[in-house]
Amino acid sequence: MKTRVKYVTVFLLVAAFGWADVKSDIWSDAVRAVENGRYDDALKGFWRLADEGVMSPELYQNLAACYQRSGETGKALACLEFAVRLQPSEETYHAMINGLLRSLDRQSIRPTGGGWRDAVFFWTDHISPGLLVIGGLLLWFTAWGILLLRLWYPRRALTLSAAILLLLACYAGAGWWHRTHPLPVGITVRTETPIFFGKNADDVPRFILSEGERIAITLLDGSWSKIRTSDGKTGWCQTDSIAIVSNTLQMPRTDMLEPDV
Amino acid sequence: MRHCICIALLIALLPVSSGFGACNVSAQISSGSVLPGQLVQLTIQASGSNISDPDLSVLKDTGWQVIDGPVIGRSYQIMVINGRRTESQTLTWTYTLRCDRQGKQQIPAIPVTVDKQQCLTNPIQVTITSQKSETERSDANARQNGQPTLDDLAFITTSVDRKQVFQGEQIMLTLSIYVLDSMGVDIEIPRNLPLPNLSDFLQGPQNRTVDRANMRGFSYRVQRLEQVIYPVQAGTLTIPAWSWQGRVYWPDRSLFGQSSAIRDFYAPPITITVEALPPSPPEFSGAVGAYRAESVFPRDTLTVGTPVQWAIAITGKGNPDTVGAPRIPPIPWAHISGPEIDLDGRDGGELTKIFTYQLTPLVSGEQELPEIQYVFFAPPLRQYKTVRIPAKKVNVVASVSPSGTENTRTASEGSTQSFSRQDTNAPIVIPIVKDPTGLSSGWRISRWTTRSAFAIALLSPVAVWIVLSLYVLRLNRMKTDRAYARKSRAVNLFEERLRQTTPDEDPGGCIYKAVTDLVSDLLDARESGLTTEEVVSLLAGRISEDELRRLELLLRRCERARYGGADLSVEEVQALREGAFEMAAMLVERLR
Repeated sequence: MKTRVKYVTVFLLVAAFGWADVKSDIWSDAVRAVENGRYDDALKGFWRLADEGVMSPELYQNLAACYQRSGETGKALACLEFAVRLQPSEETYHAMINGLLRSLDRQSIRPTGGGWRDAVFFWTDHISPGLLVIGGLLLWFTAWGILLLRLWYPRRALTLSAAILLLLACYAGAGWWHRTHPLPVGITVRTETPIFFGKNADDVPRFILSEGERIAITLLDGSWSKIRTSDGKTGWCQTDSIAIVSNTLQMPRTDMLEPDV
Repeated sequence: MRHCICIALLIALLPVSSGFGACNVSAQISSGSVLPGQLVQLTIQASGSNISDPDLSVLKDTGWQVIDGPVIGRSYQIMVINGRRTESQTLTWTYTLRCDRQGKQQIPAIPVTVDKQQCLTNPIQVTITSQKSETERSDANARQNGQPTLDDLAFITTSVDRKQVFQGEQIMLTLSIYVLDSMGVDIEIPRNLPLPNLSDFLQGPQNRTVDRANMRGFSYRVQRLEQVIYPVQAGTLTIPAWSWQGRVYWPDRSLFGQSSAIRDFYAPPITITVEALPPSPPEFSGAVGAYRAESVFPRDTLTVGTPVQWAIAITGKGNPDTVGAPRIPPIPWAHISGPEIDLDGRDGGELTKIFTYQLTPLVSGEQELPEIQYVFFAPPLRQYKTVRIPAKKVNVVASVSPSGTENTRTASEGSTQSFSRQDTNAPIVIPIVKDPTGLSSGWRISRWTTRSAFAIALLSPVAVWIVLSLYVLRLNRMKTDRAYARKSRAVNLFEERLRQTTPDEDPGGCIYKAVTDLVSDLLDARESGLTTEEVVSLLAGRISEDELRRLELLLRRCERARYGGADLSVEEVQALREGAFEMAAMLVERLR
C-alpha cells in the first residue's frame, strides 16, 4: 500500500513539473511569435495559458501588448484592466492604461460603482480585504465568546456588546465581500458600439460609444447588457461588442477557445 | 326777457347735466408729490349696475407706467322703496403706477363705461421732483422735535463700493433695509422681495447680514443684502431704482395697541461708469481683479511612467468664471493632461480656482518644471499684471517593471520591457514580458476547500454556543423542575441499585425497592415505601393490563423472596434481575 502511495506521489510531482515546463515552452513560443510579428499565434499561446488557469498579471500584460500591436486597443485596455484587478497596487499597469487611453479619440474615465454599495462601504476602500476579513473574524469570535459568557452571567451589557460586535462583524464581512467583488466594468472593443434604448438591434441607437470606452455593467441578460457610462447615460448594448472585466475576463475572441477565462 | 333766456339755458343744459349726473366715477392718487421712479397708487371708483373696466391706454405716452394691478374691490347695494327694488354696485380698481420724468405730470381722464354710458375720471396733477416735498419738510420739522416721522420708521437704501470701474471688475452692490430699533417698530416685506433688474451685469455670490447703524439721528436694525456684480460692457450702466411696497407697524395707544400703514419703499437708481480694458497681451488669462498664483507639487522625486498631480491655484477677488487656466509651456520630458478644475470659497470673499494637471514623467534624470506666468488685469494699477510661479527642479528615476527590469527611455518592441514613450505624441508601446515569474500555478488550495474551511470556522462558535446553551438549559431545569429531575435520574438510579444487588444481602428486597423507586421517580410519586398495591394503582391505565399483571407478579415474587426466609439461588436472583430490567425498559418506554 505504502509503495503504491509513493508511486502516485512521484507521478503527480513529475506531471506537475512537466506541465510547468510545458507552460514555459508555450510562453516562450508566444513571445517568439510576437517578435516575429505573428500576433495571432502569440494570442493563441497566451490565451491557452489563461484558459489553463494561469492568473498572472504579466500574462495579461502580454495579451494587452499583442492586442495593441494587432490594433485592437479596446481589447488591450480590457486585458490591462484585468491585470489591475489581479494586482491593484502595481502602478505600472495604471500608467500603461493611462498611456493607452491617450492614444484614443475619447478618453473616458473609469465608471464608479455608485449606488448603495459605495454609499454603505465607502470607508472600507482604504482597508485591505485581508485586514477586513481578519477583523471581521476577530469580532465574530469575540461576540460568540461574550455570548458564551452570558450563559453563566446573564447581564444585559453582555448581550448588548455581543449584538454590537456581531453587527460590526457582519459589516466587516460585507465590506470584505464588497472589496473582493467589484462591479464588472465593460470596455468597448469595436470601433463603434451602438447603445440602444432597449434590447432591439433594429431600433435607432440612443448613442454610440467608440472603442476603448469604459462603462459600468449594471445587468447581464444573455446576449444583451445594460450599461451606464461615466457621465450617467444608460442603455443596452450587445454583449459581444464589449469586454467584461470582473473576477474573470470575458471578451469576444478570434481564436477557437472559449471566451471564459 | 332775462327770465326767458335763463329758462332756455336751463332747458338746454338739462340733458347734459342729467347725462353727467349719471356718471359716478372718480380717481384718487396716493401722493401728490413723489420722487422720480417712486411707486404711487391710483384708485378709480365707479358706481352703477353695469360697469366695464377702466381703459388705461390713455396713459400711453404720458410718462406713466402701470407696474402692477389692478386690485379690484366690489360692493353691492340693494334698495327697496315702496316695493320697488333697485340694485347697484360700486367697483374700485387700484393700480400701481410709476413715472421717471420730473416736473408736473398729469394723469389724464380715464374712460370707464357705466351703464352703457362713457364716463371719465377727473384728471390728476402729480408733482415729481427730487426736491423735498412739503410733507418731507414738515417731517423734518417734526424730526427737529426729536420725534421720528413715518418715513423715519423704516426706509431702504442702495449703495455700491465704487462707481467707476473697468469692464469685468467686481462691484459690491449693497441693498439695505433700515427699521427703527426702538419703539417696537416692525415691517412686513413681500415674501419674494423684488430686487433691481441687473441685466447689464453678471451676478456673483450673494451675502445677507443683519447689524445696527445710526442714521438720521436714530438707531436702526439693518438687513443688508450684498450682491457681487460684474459689468459686462463698457459705457454708462444703471442699476435701476429699487422700489417695492411694504407695511410698517408701530405701537400706539389705540384699542389694538398697534397701528400700521402701507409704505412705498424706494431707493433711487445708481449710475456706474464702466471703462473698457486696454489692449491685452497675448498671455492675458481673462481675469480682472487682484490675484496670486501658487503651485503644489507632491514630491521632488518622480518615477518614469508614474503620473503625479500638479495643482496650480489662482486665488484672489474677481469673477471666477473669467479666471482661465494658466498656460503651461511645453514640457519635453513628460506628458501632461488636464486640467481638472475646482473652485473654493464661494462666500463672497477670496476665491481659489485650482487647476489640477496630471503629469507623467517619460524621461529619467534631473528635470525642470517650467516657470508659469499668469497675466490678469489689475484695476487699481490700470494695467495688466503678471504673477509668476518659479521653475522647480525635480529628479525623475527610472521605474521597475513587474518582471524586475528597469524601464528606460527607449522602448523597442520585443527587445525591452519598457513602456516609456519617446515623445509625447507617439502612442505608448506595452512591453512584452519574456520571463514570467508567476507561471507555475504551484500547489493551490481549491476554492471549495477554502470556502468549506471558512464556513466551518464561522459556524464552529455558533455550534459550541448552541450545545452549551442546551446544557445550561438542562442544568437549570434539573435545578428547578423536580419531576423532570427525578424522571431524568430514574433509570440511572435503578441501574445503580440493581448493580448493588448481591445474593447474600436480601436480593429480593433490593430488586423490589429498585422497581418501586423507579415507578415513584418516573411518576414523581412518594419517594419511598410504595407497596405493590400502590404501584399497581399508580400504573393502572398508564400501561396495559398484561404488563401490569406481569409487573405485579414480579413484585409479589420479590416480596415472597424477601419474607419467605429461604435464600435465593444465584439463578433465581438473575431471573428476578432480568425480569426487573425488562419491566424497567417497558416502564421507561410507556411513561416517557
